[in-house]
Amino acid sequence: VLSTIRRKIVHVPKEARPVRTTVPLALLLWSLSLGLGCGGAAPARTAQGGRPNVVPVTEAMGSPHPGDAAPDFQLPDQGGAEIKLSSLRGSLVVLAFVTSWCPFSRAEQPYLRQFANEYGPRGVKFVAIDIKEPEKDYREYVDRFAMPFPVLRDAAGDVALSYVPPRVLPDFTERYKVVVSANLVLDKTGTIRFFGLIDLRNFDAHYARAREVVDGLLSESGAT
Amino acid sequence: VKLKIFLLAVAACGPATLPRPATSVLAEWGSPQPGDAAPDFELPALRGAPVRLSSFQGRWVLLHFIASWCPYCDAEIAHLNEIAATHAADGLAVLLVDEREPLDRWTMYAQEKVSGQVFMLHDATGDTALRFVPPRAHPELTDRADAIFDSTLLIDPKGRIRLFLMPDSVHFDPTFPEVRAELADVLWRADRGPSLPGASRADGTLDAGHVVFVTSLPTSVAVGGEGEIQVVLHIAPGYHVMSDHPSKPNYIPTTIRLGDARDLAFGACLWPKSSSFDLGGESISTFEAEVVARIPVQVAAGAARGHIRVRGTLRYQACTRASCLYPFTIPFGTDLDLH
Repeated sequence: VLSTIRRKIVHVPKEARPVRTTVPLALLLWSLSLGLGCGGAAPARTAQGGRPNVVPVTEAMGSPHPGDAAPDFQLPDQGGAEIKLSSLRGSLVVLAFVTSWCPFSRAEQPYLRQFANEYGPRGVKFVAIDIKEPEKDYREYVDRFAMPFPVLRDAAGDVALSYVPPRVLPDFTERYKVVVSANLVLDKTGTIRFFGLIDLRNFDAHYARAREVVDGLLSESGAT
Repeated sequence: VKLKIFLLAVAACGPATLPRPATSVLAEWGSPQPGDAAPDFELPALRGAPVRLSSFQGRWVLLHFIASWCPYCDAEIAHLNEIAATHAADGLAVLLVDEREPLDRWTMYAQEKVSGQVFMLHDATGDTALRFVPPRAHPELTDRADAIFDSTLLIDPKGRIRLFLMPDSVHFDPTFPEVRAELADVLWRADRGPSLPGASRADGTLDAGHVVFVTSLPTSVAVGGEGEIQVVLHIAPGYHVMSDHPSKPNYIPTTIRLGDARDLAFGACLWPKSSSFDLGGESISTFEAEVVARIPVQVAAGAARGHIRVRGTLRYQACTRASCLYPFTIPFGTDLDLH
């Protein structure tokens, strides 16, 4: 009886709960996915037993959301060059928000580099935005991960803020933190086709969802 | 207070199956798990002497791991302060452990945000975190102590883990609803005295006071607005209670009374449709199993924001097919958040 009550409290619909699986199965699936050479593909299951996932931004959360034009901005990269997002139109763009203090953001950086190494040669542009960090922490991040793409410094956090959908995680007082570890896929017109926020319990460290969208867009443009 | 603490300790001998809300750690992540002894630690406190977890044996402990940069933790701090205030008289100790931040940053943050009723501890090395992180939680985090951030443990008076929750960004709720529900259950049992609900007499029947178990979820209402308090009656199998409109004048109706609370006005209690119980050819109006009573509440426009605990009583007469017990009145509490 009490478990019924608890379900009511947490507002988690039963079907939203990830299906549990045993760890050996998860490991087996994971090693299979590596063994089959799916080129850096994500493990099939997270520790939670579910699919690696993101919190997809929806229209109900407010703009920007998929279907909207990505808010434009101009920021300096690690070499000091100013990069304007709209100058990348004509290419698919993967946009990733990063910070050095967030353990999840730190953990996914090697996979972001791997993602870029695989898809950069296919014409996909990668841009990381380091949010509101002191110069020292930004430099440390840049040196540590040596990304093969621009890592922009959003020193004031204004660009991050322009990407925060207003009606998600309303309890966050520092609003820019909503997009920490978020990633987006923009099509060649600069329209948002994918916008995922972090799902802590089904952490998608390997960018599996973003990869699916990029694959879809690449095959779309290949067909035309 | 000593008696209360004793009763709390007794209550800890409660149910064999431990609750696992949706945000719980999973069994396959490995130890520690609900039911295990909480790993002991001693950490420096921002105020006073170092704090050792095992020194709280005999009390309930709420243990939460944070860092000032963590936005989930930050959203939860006010609610943690409030739980500490609400349950201070019940002997609950709230321990907040900062993970691996420079001491000055943690001190500044704690001074600004954390109430004096909370123990503010500092795990400078992450060694304490490592004792708590289940080995297969968040395998992507290679720095294993990182996996403890924003975790919440409720530890019983014997030092065993009752709840072990990890953050869920999809269903994020900063008010600790699972912890509040668990504390409400536990404290209610403590209020009932050493005999736990369901304790039976020698002949296998229940005492009148053990037939119905009450829970009530926290209610959130805007200042100047209206809301609804829900009170859930869990009626023991094989028993029924008379409905709010019993079939005979001498049957005792089930009634809920809420105590007076400043700035709150309660409406008449709304009961669900009763069930009819066949008493050998005669059908009477009763409640069975689980019943949710709803009480409209109005909050005055000038009410202060914050947390209010409203005390109430439930009066009922319980019967089995064979006989009726004396009417009984039990106390319960319900939490309101005025925002």
